[in-house]
Formats: sequence, structure tokens, C-alpha cells
Amino acid sequence: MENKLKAVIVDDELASRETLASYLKNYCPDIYLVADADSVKSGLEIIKKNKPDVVFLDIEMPYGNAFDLLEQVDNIDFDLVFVTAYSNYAIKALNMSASYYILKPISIDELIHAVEKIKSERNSGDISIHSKILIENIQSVNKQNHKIVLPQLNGFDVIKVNDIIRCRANDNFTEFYLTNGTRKLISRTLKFYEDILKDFDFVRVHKSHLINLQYVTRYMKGKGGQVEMTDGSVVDVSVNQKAAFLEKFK
Amino acid sequence: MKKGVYIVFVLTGLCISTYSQSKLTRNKVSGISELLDSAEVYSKKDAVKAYNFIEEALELIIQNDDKGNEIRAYSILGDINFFSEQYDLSTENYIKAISLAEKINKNNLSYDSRKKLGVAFKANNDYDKAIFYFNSFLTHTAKNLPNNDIVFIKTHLAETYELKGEYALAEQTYKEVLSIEQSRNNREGIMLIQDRLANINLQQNNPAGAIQYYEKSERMAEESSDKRSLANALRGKSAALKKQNKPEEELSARQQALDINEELDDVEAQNEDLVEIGKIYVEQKQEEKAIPVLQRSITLSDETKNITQKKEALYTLSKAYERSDIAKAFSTYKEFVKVNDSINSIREQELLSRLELATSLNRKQQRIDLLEKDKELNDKTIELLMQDQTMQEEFIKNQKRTIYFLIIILFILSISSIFILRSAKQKRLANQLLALKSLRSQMNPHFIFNALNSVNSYIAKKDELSANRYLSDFAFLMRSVMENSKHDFIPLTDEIKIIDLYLKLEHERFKEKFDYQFVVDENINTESFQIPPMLIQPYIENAVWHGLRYKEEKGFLTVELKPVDKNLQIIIIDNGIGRKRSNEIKTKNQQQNNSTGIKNIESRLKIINEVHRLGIQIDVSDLDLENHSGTIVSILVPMQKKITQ
Repeated sequence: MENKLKAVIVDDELASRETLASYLKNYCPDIYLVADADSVKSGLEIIKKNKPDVVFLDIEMPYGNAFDLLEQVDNIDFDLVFVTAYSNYAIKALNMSASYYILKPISIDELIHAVEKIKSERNSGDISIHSKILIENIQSVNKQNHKIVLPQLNGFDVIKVNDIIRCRANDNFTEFYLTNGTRKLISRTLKFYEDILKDFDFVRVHKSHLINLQYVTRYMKGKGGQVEMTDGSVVDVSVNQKAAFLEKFK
Repeated sequence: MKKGVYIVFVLTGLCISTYSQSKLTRNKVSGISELLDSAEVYSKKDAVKAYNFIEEALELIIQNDDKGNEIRAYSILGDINFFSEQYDLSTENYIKAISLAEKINKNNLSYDSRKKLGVAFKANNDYDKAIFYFNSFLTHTAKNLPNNDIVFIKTHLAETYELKGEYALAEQTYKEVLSIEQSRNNREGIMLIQDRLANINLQQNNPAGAIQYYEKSERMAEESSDKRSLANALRGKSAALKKQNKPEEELSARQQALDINEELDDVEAQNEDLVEIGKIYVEQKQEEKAIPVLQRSITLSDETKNITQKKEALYTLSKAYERSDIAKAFSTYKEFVKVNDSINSIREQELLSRLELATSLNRKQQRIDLLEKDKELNDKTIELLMQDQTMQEEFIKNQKRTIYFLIIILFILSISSIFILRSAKQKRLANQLLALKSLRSQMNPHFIFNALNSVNSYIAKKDELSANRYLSDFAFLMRSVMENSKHDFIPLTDEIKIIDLYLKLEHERFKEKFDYQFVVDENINTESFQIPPMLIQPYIENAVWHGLRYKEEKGFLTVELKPVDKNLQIIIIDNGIGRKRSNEIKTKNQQQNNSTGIKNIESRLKIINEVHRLGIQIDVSDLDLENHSGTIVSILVPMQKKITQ
């Protein structure tokens, strides 16, 4: 029992709770379910009472959603696995904080994978970083202060969105160029980060370039043209993106 | 524009005035030639009268700008002046006629003037000019001048040379004429020229040469029994013999001539002959023979009132009396002086009257010149007017061009704007249709994934039948939605099926939350009636998710389709918590994630109403107005419109 992780489920639908419970029981031997709840209110109660290691949290619920619940937890000292049927908005937030989530209808394989990940991460230490950043981002009205969690081989880097000058595609990796002059190579596609960062005045000017508009110092005319960034780097603008790029400066 | 109208008015005026003018002239054209004819008739008889005709004619000519008659008028003026011995005026007028003809390139009209110009100069003792114009006439006038004219001009030319004292040239020219006359066998002409040639010989002190010519003529005259010419030849010969100092021969020739003249009854010629015979006798000191001859001459002179001849006769007679009877000689001389005086006074009178004529003709000429000048002035004014008119015409033309240009531009602009508007409209329509397509019938993804999740639950519970039923229903619903999403309108039946299934599936999920009823009025022809797809479903979804789901106790949902007036009314009633409470309940985090289903349907309806000119109305209100609980949605779809796709 010592190695097993204590888990709770918060989901408003009975059928969903039952299904997840059944899957955990049958396919995740490292998890033992101690309680479930059908709302934010009851969810908070069982978390307080049971002090779970893992919370399976449905995002969309009546009377407050998953984020409402997390905001009311004093200290998030548990791992979170979000469960959602469909929520574009929520998924962006989750991706920014590199939080775990499973989409409904639940895939058993994904569930197993998520549990595996959590187990391995627990061994490497910091378990609450995703949730902390997630809550910070949700609560921060000023977009400039939002942070992004970049998964590394042995942990995470947390950086302010504001510190990113540009991102460059490198096969299936993305290279981040930061204001302090450092670079970070992340094992995610540029498309993934484009989806997250385009709400923060980032523009994909080229197949392999995503730039932060606030760090553009100069635009040089040409077929597509080029932009010079504050760090002195020059980035090509593709012909296809030129119009969309220039539109942003109007 | 106002200016344009003014110009048109002026032009019309001009047209009318020129028209009336031309009508006027037609009446007077004949008048001109008549006047000119009259002038021609009077040109010899009465210069002043002729001048008056010309003046009158010229006035008309200038009015009508009749160039042909103008030339003729000046030609006649030249003649008038020539006949009244105003040769300088004559030359002036001929030159005028010639230059007018040159101007209009009709030199044939000035033929006579050119022919006579030299003659006039010759008459005016301006020999050099006369010679110049004779020669120019001969060389420049025409290729085949009529012989008569050549003879005329060359004779005059020879005479001019003669007058100028250039006898060699004169003789040569006469000989040219003579050869012409000989070639055409003109006996009279030949004799005339021979007479001239003889005269030249005389003037060059070659009486023998002269006698040769005279004798030639004498023979010719005898051959043709031309008595007059014979007499002439004899008289010429006698004059030549006088030069040769052969009184007997002279006398005999003169006597012959006198005989012939008596025969011809030519008193003047007889008289001359008598005087000449008298002179010969006086020279020969045969006064007794001379006196009766001269007395006969004086009688003849009195008869014919030829005082010149009488003077000549009296003078010779007084000489004849000198040796025999001084008293008679004196009295005769006195008579001679008297006659001579009278001749002089007659000459003076003649000179005076000629001077008078000259002044009056000059005055006339001045008036005509004035006329001419007036005309020139007129011409200039007309030219200016014409220029003005052409300028105005040009202006109008330009204005017209500009107007046409503007009209064309306007036309192009309107056409292109119509096209642009139309294409813009089409573009708008296309955009709207595109927007419609993207807005159309999206089942809320939440619903889809939750539905799938429900299926998953059945699977997890190993409830094969339920899972299968649910999945089948869901598949059917999805298929219908996809199928219908291709159309702007679908039969009401299809929409009813969708609502039926949707209600069934949602109720399955929230069984404990609500019950429902779905009523379709029997009077509705659900097959033929068309409505936009997925019009009703989002409102039902809203009723469940935002109204009924939050309700403590079990709620109730009614969906009703019925005809109201000419509309189909769709009513969705839930007794859930109401819109106000629902919004209050939602946390900040939830509101950010609001469903866009209603917004979608609203923008869809807006476009559908616009594109298909429909008036689909949606009205949302609270069921319980006091507590703001429950919601009624009423959708009115006009029935009478048959929608064509």
C-alpha cells in the first residue's frame, strides 16, 4: 500500500465518475481511489479530508469549474489530472503550465500513461509547479506576467512569456531565444507553442519562426521582408505571412 | 452652357441673314450683267454715263462677291477710259481686271484686258511698258493665240517701235505680220502692212523702198479691182515720189488717186488730193493751175465743214496768189489766219472738254476705288468675322467634345460602378453564404464528447444494449446534422427528428434533472414546410444546460410546434432557474468559457433573413416574470414563403 497513490475524483456526472473509477481499478494498480465528489464544494471537502496524492478533476461542472476549485485549495500538494470533454480555453491554460489532462471519452492508454508520468515525476521532486503556474496565470489579469512551463528532460523551466524574444522550429523541437541571451531547446513542435502564444502578441512570421512582436525593432522591406529583433537577430518573413504580419502593426 | 446657347442663337441669326442675303442677290444677278452691258454700250458714246452704270454694277458685285463680273467691270472701265483717251486710267483698270483674274486663277476672264493693256500704254506714250505688255501677251497668254490677235498685237508692237523711233525693230515686226497675212492670204491685211512698211521706209528716207511696197499694193489692188486700196497705194506712192523730188510722177499718181476718189465719191480723200495737187502746182510755179484746184478744195471743205483741210487749202492758195495778186494773197492769208484761229479755239475747247471729262472720270474712278477699298475693308471685316466664327465654331466643337467626353466618362463610371456594386453585392452574398456555412449547424462539441463519454460509461458498465442504442442514436443524430448542414433550409420533418433524438439523448444523461414533452401540431405540413437546420436545438440545449441542470428539484421542458396566424411558432419552455440566476451562479472562470451556440444562431438568422428576405423572429423571455425563473423561447418562422434553394 505504501507505493500506491491515493486518488480522488471530482466530476459532476455519475456515469463519468463510475467509468473513471472502473478504469483506475482495472488498469491502474498503482492508484487506489479513496473518494469521489460531484461538485466543487464537495470536491474541496474530500480533498481536505483525504489529502490525496492525485486528483482527477473534471473541468466543466455546474456551480464552479476546476479552476474555481483549485483557487480555493490552500496548498496544492497533490498531482492533478484534468479530465475534460471539450474546452479550448482550458486546454490552452493547461498546456501553458504543462499540466496533465485526459480527454473524454477517456482513453485507457492515456490514463495509464498519465499515471506513469505522475509516478515518475513524484520521484524527481517538485510536484506542484504546474498547478502553481496554472493558478498564477488564471489569476493574473495582466497577460505580461503570465508564465509558461517548458518541460525539460529532468524537470521544468518556468519562464515569463515576456522574456521570450522568439521561437525557432528545429525539427520537432522548438528553440526559445530569451531576453537574457540564453536559448532553450524544448521537445515540442513550434505549432504547439504558436497555439499557446498567439494570444500574447506572438506571430508566426515564417514556417520556422514565431516572434514576440514587442521585441521587433525594425522591418526591412523585401519580397517577404525581414525583421530585426532587439537581440540583433534578423528573421525572415515569408511572403505568405507578410500581410498578416504587417496587419499587426496597424 | 448659357454661353453655348447664346452662340447657337448667334449662329442661327447668321444663317438666316446669309440666307436672306443670297435670296436678295438672286434677284439682282441679272441686274449686274445688264448694267455691265449698258456700260459697254455707252463706253464709246458717253463715258460718264458708262461710268455710272459701272459704279452701280460694282456696288452690287461687291455685295455679292461676284468675281467674274468684277473683272468684266474693270475691263469695261479700261475700255471707257481708253475711248475717252484717259489712258492712264485705262491702264489702271485693265491692270486691276488682270490682277483680279489672277487672284481667282481665271486668267481667261482677263484676256481682253491683257490684249488691250499694251495698246493703252502705247496710247499713253508709255512705249516701254507697251512693248513689255505686248511681248508678255504674245509669250504668256496662250499656246495657240488666234492669228487675228497676233496680227493685232504685233501691228501695235511695230507701231510702238515706230513711234519710239526703232525702225529696224518696227520693220522686222511688220514683216512678221506681213508673213502671217500672206500665209492666210489676207489681201487687205497685206496691203495695210505694206503701207506701213512703206511708211517706215519713208521715215528712214528710203522713198525707193517705200515706192516698191506701194507699187506692190497698187498691183494687188488692181488685180482685185479694189479701188479704195488702189487710191491709197497711189496716194502713198505720190508722197514717196514727193520725197524723191519727182513732181511729175508725184502729180500723176496723185491725179490717178483723185480720179479714183472722185469715182468712189470720197470727198475727204478728194479734198486731200486736191490740196496736195495744189501744193505740187505751187511748187512748180504753175499758180494758174493751182488756184482752181485749191478753190475747189475750199468749196469741198466748206461743204464738208472740214476746216483743217480748208486751212491747208487757204494757206496754199495764199501762196499761189503771192506772185500774181498780192491783195488776194493777203485776203486769203487773213482768211487762213481766221480759220487757223478757229481751229485753235476748237482745239482748245476740245482740250478743255477733254480735261473736264478727265477730271470727272478721275472723280468717278476715285469713287470706284473707294468702293473697292470699302470692299477690301468689308472683306477684311468679313474675314475677321469668319475668323471669329471659326473660332467660335472651334470653341463649340471643343465644348461639344468635352461634353461628349464627360458623357462617356460618366457612362463608363456608372457602368463600372454598377459592376462594382454588383460584384460587391455578390461578394457580400458569397461572404454571407460562406459565413452561413461556417455558422451552420454545429453541434456543440461539448454535447458530442459528453455523448461519447456516455457511451463509454455504458461500455465500462458492460451494458452492451444501452451502449449500442445510445451509440446508434448518436450516430443517427450526427448523420442528420451533417446531412442537413449542407442546406440552408431543410424540411421540418428532418428538424423534428433531430430535436426528438437530441431530447432523448440529453434526457438520458440528465434523467434525474428533468422530464420533457415534445408536441407537434397536426395541422402543420411538416414535409413541405422548410426551416433552417439546427434552429431549435441550441435553444433546447440552453434550456437544459443553463436552466434545468441547476434546478434543485426535477424540472420540465416543453417543446411545441404550432401554427400561429401564417407563421410556424416554436416554443421552448423550461422551468429552470432562469437566465438571471444562471448568470449569477457562474464563476468568473466559467463565464470565460461561455457557449457560443446562441450567438451563432443569432448571426445565422440575421444572414438568412437578409439573403432569403425572411422575417424569422426570436423572442426570449422569463417564464416567471416576478422571480425571473424559467425561460420561454418563441421562434416565429413565416409560413407563406415557399423557400427555394
